[in-house]
Amino acid sequence: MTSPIGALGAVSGLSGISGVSGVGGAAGLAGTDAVKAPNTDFASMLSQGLESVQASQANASDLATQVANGTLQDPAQYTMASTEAALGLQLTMAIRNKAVEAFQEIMRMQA
Amino acid sequence: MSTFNAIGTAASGVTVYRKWLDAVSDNIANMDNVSRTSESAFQARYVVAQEAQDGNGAQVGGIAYGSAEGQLAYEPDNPLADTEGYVRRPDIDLGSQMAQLMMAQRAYQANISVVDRAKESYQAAINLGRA
Repeated sequence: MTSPIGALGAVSGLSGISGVSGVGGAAGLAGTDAVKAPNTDFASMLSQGLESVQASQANASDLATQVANGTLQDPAQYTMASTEAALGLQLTMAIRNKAVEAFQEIMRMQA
Repeated sequence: MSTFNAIGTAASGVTVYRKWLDAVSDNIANMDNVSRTSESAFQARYVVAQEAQDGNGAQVGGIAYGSAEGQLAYEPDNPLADTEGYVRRPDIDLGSQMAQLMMAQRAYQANISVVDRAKESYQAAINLGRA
């Protein structure tokens, strides 16, 4: 799942966008370059995000097993972990949908 | 974890207040314990809450114990009474325990509602990106 989205990130031309933000540098903002410096590429950002979503999903499913076993003392821990996992997944889906949308928009350009 | 920080922070509060609820229920359950004067009385449990070490939320630093001496009660009919007719009872005040129960319960609910609001807020932010 990671690699197709990474490919999308490459296709959608983020470098072009950062080129636009170079205008801010031209306006004489000295801080802009310093902010841009730790520039991780979009693909690795996405895969990091996916990994953390995966970790929270695994945590929630661990806790679900513990609830079923009766070994978990605090059921609220499970509900909160599953809330966090659900939010993470929603965020992932929102980003994925945006990426696909952007990709389709670009594909439509050649028509 | 860091993406939805407010949820984890409030969850640590929920855990602390659940432990307080546990301590209060333990105290109330053992309120009427009777022991011989040669033994120590049931010691009330008090939860020591403190700031979490990673700076996000709260944690239980430990459990403090109440008086082991308790109170001496004159109950000559009690089979556990000593030769002078005294037994030892725990030094637990039900009124204070009930007040603590209410505080712990309300604080637990407050933390849960923080989780709820944080979830709604994060969801609103995600929906903004979705439209």
